[in-house]
Amino acid sequence: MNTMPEDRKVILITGTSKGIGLYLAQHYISKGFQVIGCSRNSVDFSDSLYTHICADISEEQDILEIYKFIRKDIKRLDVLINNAAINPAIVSAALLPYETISQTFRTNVFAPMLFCREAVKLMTRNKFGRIINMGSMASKHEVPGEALYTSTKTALNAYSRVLAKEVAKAGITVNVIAPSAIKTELSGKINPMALQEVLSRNAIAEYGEMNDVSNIIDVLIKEESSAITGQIIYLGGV
Amino acid sequence: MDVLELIYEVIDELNLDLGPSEQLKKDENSVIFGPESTLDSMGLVNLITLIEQRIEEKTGNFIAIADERAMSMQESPFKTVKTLKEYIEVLLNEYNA
Repeated sequence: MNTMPEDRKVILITGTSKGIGLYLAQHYISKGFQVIGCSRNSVDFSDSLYTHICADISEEQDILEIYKFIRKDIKRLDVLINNAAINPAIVSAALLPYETISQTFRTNVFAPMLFCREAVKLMTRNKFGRIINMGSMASKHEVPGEALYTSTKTALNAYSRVLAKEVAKAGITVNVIAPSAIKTELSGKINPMALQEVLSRNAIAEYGEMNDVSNIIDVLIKEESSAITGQIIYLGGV
Repeated sequence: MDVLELIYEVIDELNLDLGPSEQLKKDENSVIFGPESTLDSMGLVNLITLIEQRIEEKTGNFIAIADERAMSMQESPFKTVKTLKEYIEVLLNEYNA
């Protein structure tokens, strides 16, 4: 039986088994949100406010199952954070295999689009919704070797700005948060010297912190933030 | 399942939130998408979403109405209440086959 109080906000976060996603899940649990998280792998924590779903988000059917669960058992969705992303190959664009391109787009672009599509359907019921798509400073810096990852994040920027215009009337906002480099498994794959060079182009030439990300998301998901939409917010002075 | 009745129930629900000039008539010839429709794009999203939701409540099965076939058809099923009804009937028949 679902004993969730009616006023408890529900947040869906993708990629909660590690990195920023894991941090955000725990952050919003601590703030009293009902958090639904998903990732390929299970998580090593549990909480009465947390539900984890193992899913391969590059498969549409897995995403539909997540929403089936939300529609049937939770019955509402207030916030979606599309956090999960992969960066499997930091290599010259001239050497990218087709399957790597395809898989990266399925995870970084198609999946967030499907999560948004289904979220909008749920959010319109309550005439309220907040969608956060995670971007990257790579979209601004255009770093050699990052053509694939950068193009997925730039596609997500464009998608988010158009979606924001489509759903504004339904009380739904859509924004992109593009953090500076944060020490995670994903950023660990990048050559530290190259990363330092890219960071040196920012106003703040240092790694960002997890709470930089949660701080701005806290603001964007407030009910009062209804006028902030279609924005790509770069952290770190990119 | 009477699909037309289900669509009319959803139209009743939608009309509660629409202004007097935006009301969608419970008529098979009512246009649901395009310049002649009283519904805007989010109105159409609401209509489709509510119908999908009602079908899921009644049958326990989620059937995506805005699927790839619908998007590629020469005659869009999202033209009028009648074309939508006919398309949903096709989907339901296929699902139950």
